[in-house]
Amino acid sequence: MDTTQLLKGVLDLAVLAVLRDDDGYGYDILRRLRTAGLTEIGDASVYGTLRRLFAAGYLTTYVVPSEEGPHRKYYALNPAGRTQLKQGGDVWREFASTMNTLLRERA
Amino acid sequence: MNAEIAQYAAQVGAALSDLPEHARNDLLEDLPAHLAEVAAEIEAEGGGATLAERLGPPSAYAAELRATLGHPGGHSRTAAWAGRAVSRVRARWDGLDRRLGPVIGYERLGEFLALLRPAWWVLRGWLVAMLVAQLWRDGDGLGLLPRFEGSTLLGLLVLIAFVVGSIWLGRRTAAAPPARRRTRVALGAATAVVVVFGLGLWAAADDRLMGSFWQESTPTAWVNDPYNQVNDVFVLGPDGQIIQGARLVDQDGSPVVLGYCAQRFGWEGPGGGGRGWEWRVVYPSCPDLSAPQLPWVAVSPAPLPWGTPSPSATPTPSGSAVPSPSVTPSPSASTGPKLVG
Repeated sequence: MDTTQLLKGVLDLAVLAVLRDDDGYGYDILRRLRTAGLTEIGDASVYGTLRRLFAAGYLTTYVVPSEEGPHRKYYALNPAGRTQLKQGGDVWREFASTMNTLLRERA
Repeated sequence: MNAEIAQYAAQVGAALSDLPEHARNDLLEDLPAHLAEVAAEIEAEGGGATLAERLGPPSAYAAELRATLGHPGGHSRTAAWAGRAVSRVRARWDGLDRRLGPVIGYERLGEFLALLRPAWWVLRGWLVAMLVAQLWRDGDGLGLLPRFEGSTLLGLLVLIAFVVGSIWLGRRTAAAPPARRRTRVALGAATAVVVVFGLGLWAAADDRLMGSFWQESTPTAWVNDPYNQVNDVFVLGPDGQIIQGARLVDQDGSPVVLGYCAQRFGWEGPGGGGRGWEWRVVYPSCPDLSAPQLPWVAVSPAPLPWGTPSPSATPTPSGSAVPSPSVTPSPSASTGPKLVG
């Protein structure tokens, strides 16, 4: 099975998760996701997800001026985002444990 | 880099052109800023890579965005066909771009063309000024400067205004292509009009510089005239002497008109009464032209009676012998009907 197919469903959760402890800007978030092991993730996916989460009201943004290079738009979790992360996390853990059980029995 | 970002964002936008405008604008709003971050990262990592190399082609980027946002692929069959056609053309251009670039010492042809952009802005400003002047004009001819009411100064001011405006517009659209599709289409259509006008202007100017207006206005058709090199005709007798006042006639007795001076010229009667055209057909016809040197004539020809007597008996063609436009008989020069023949 293709990882990208799996990723589609949980990309929101993944992005919320990497923003849990530290705010970040687009490219930085992409790098964190890749460092965490989601190496196949694309820039457009992250950019699109950030736009969507922001539109849904889970993120706040602020711009940090940079002396060299462009200003950076940082994204941060707001309370709604934290709630969403917690709920999504619960759903995922339950789903994952079900899948794990399922796969163990079959194996 | 900024131009590259704008171009990439515009291409992503074009690939999403089937989305409702507000959804698309929502999606693209932050894209240039985001791409600028990516570009800055590329730079920080040592640079060299293009956005397309890092992020994949804009169409793929758009497809990924579309998938992430849950927008349906939503291409109608026509749109899908058009999309494929566009990417085919783009791929071909990309190949040409890479192949032709090195010929003129650039990595890509596009790089060189991008350098020419400001030149195009200036040219565009001039063309628009010329176009406006043409629409404005009241019977003035076509020049290289726009003129309004015959005023060169006003024309210059307008020219400067349009050139500055064009540069401003160029910089603006290069930094951020207009988001609205309608604006882009309008700009494209205006550019097409300017280009077509420019080609027309160029053709007209070329035509004039080639002198076709001159050919139309001269009485003797110069085109295909085997005698157009003939300035004057000297008729020699068997003794090698020039026969003065000779006339050439054809089988019908009509005068044979040859040479620069043997032309139709206008005359005007005293007090403006009576105008007409006459043929001057007595040879030699140019009054101040020296006789040619004729090495094959055994007897040296006598000097022309109207020629300045030279110390030696042999007249030599001197520099002053070359006819200049000023010797062309003009209506004002002849005071009355001068009938010859």
